Amino acid sequence: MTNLLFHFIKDGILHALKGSKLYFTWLISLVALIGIGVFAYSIQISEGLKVTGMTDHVSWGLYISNFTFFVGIAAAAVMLILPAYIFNDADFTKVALIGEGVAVSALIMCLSFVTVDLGSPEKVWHLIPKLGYFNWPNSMLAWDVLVLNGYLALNLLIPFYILFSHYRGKEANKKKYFPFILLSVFWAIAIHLVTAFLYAGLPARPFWNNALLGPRFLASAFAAGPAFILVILSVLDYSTGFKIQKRVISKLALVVAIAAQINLIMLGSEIFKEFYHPTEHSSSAIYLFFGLHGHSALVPWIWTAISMNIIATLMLSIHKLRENHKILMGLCIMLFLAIWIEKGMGLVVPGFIPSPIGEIVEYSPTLVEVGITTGILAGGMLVLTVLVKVAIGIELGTFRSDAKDAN
Amino acid sequence: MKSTIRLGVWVTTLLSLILVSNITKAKILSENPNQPPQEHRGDIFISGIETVQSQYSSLEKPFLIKKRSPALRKSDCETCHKDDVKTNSNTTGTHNDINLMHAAKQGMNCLTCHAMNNVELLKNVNSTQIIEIDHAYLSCQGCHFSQARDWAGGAHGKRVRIWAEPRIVYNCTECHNPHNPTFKKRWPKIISTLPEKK
Amino acid sequence: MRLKDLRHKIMSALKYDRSLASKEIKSDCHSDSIPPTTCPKNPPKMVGGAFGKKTSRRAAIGLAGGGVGAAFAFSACSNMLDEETKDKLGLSWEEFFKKNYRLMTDQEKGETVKRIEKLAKVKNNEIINVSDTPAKDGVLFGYAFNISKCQGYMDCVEACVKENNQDRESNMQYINIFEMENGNLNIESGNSKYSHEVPVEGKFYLGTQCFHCEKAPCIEVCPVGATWKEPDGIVVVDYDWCIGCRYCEAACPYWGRRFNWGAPQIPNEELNTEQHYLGNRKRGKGVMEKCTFCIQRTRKGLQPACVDACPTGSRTFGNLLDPNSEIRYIIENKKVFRLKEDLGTEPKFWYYMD
Repeated sequence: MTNLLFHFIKDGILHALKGSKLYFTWLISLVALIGIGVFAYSIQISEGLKVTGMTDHVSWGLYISNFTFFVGIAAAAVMLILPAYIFNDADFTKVALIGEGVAVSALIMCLSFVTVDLGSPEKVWHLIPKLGYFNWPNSMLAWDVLVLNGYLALNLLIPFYILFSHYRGKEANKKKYFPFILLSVFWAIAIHLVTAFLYAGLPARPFWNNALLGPRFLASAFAAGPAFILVILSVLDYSTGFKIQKRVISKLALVVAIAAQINLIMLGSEIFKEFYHPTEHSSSAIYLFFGLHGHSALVPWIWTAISMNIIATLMLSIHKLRENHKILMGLCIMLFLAIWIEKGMGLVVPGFIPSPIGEIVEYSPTLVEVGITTGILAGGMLVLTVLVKVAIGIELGTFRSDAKDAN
Repeated sequence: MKSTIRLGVWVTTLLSLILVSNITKAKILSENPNQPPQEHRGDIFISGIETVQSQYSSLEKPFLIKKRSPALRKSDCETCHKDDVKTNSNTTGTHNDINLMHAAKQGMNCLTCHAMNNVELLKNVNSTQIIEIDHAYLSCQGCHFSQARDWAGGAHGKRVRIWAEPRIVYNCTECHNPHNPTFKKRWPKIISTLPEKK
Repeated sequence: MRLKDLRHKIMSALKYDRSLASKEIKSDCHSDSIPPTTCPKNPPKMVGGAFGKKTSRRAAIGLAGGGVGAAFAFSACSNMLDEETKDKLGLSWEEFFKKNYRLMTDQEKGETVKRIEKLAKVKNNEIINVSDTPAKDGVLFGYAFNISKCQGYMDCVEACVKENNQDRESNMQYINIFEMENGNLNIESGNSKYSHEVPVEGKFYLGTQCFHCEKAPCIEVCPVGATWKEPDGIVVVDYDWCIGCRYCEAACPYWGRRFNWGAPQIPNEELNTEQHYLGNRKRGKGVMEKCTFCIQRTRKGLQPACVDACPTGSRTFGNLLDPNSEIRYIIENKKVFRLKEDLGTEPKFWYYMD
């Protein structure tokens, strides 16, 4: 068994290193981007976080924005797992593994973003319960560390078990993994709610301190996540022998459309609350949408995001447009970018502006920050590529323990 | 399915525990009802400071006042001035460096506060009682009674070095120039620096 | 449980035999290499982290190397390193793996304080006196600020920066003085960036800093418990335990916390050498810091530096549990208010006016 496991891992790595020229160009460019990220991080390690655009006023920036967004992407895998394993929708069973791959890579990105944001990453062992001091259950960040790692473990464990069974030419025993599937469904909701509570639990920041934040996080995640997965699936459909059924695409597109509609309703109600009778607590929203006292760095971004969001949602709601594959891909990318802006920088940065005592200091990321962020995104894509490559290899039967000679 | 329910129950219990523990966190002063006050002393930091016992008449706990007289330059006027000295002149003469800017210009003169025959003794505007320099507050309180009350209680003025016992406070004249008691306009000691972007 | 054991093993491997240590310290005190100030007044209390003799130090490093891979590096080439470098490495190593200050025994607190003093000597040639004075019984500190009296001179800010060894490069300041328009108590409309002669007609001045809330949001959110409220009410940060996530900075409704974005720079001659573990000792890069009510002063009975420096008597500090204290007089006799009371943070910082 251990021997087989060893072979599985070895074959997996070897399999990931096989492919066309295009595949290799893709891998090499990802590695190059990771290299840039590592270089930028080395600067940040030696100089401290002063090489970023963050200040005591805006103390979280690009890193935490991306972290927040990608937690949503990770949670969205549940939209494939739910129909595949719980409703036993046969169409989805095949693509669920891809969803889990997306979750794993998104979580690795999240954990990397949190780590690079730390001022003293060498002391991260202080978070390990018993060895360090884990302020659980009081700190929402402690909860987040817990649920993110738990979700990562679940999303590694389930596909690993299934793929390893298939690798050995066996059917995976559903009785064995079903409890974990069930757990991971709840867990997916939990990771995103906990991340929302991280913000919503701060009375110091009225922009975040609202009950709608959690549900809105979920709605936007279930729009952006499946949109991202849709793009991945159609890339796979186009470039590999792993064919995706039309029904899967149209069902997922429907999920995206409904989630985007709900998200838009919530956005509307937030905007109503902030602007119908603006209070002191609306300053952040005023800064975000219209600028405050001549400071308006985020205004063009948020209006781009809002218009893209509205256009994409409206067009996705029209049955005919959604059924057209090319238009669907365009809308998915549009929606993904819109939510990335709105829920990333558009959520995190205005929370800090103005500061709790009314000072306005704006934020824009530096080259180092952009470099590190690019590196992490490339790293996530690399993980995703390798995981998907192996999963597809096994699912298509080109990569099996008994078919090793043929491989 | 059973395990899921158990998990749910567990999580709910935990969450409610957090909530309850937060709500029951009591308020500041009510949390420590009438604890017997313990005396904390800081004598080592005030050695060498000359003090006098306060003569402020009130129910306040007795406290000490930093002596003002050691800091004042004494002059033996009589060595030169055999006759009465004419002061408060707007032209020249002794004490012409003093430009009285206390209250309305017409309202006060030297003898409002200084004793008639000895410049080093003070008096109160309401009585003929003679007051030593180290008890200048007794003179000030003639007009500034509410400030004096706050000063004795602790809402006006300042303590010397320590918060611990014994309580030593500065005299009025340590911070306020009695001839010109308002604080003057000046540049701040340092300028506030927002962490401007590098 | 296992991890805990492992750490315990590493830690004990790094420590001297306790009986040996006290002997060594005595001999150290007579040698010329140690300045007299770093010699312990109370030798038995100090154990690890002392300048050791050649053999014991090497043995300790060797032991650690056996336990942990990383230590191999300097264990193997220990002969090539001079005594001082080895001390530096050994002490830094012990410092890195120490516990959260709250979980330390009194003895461990004493040990880390001594290590910090020695490291400052070996690394930066600073002779400092770090204290670990605990909170006194029956003391709960409170602060009051008279907004009728403050003239905006900022003497307090200057004194604070000097007293607390704040980073001179980024001009870190704990205190903000807001110039406020008469008739408006909304701090968000105040200006803290004024640079002109003060006071200005028609304005008043209001200072903010860490308010040492009884129900501090910053404490709740810290994932590693690196910040907490001491028994005397001071909210402190264990600089060596903070991982630098800045969640507390986001959670503070009063902007009371500051982060070390780079390594703090303080000229040696400006360093305040009277320090406290939880107070003004030098902070590292990438950790949080804040006002500690000058814990190094106030635990001894002195007033905070800002109170001492204020030329107008706008600042009052004292024991809330002492019914005769000035702070109690103010709360009971003046009309006081606190900032953002609606948030339920219960700051121990009251504003009042004449």
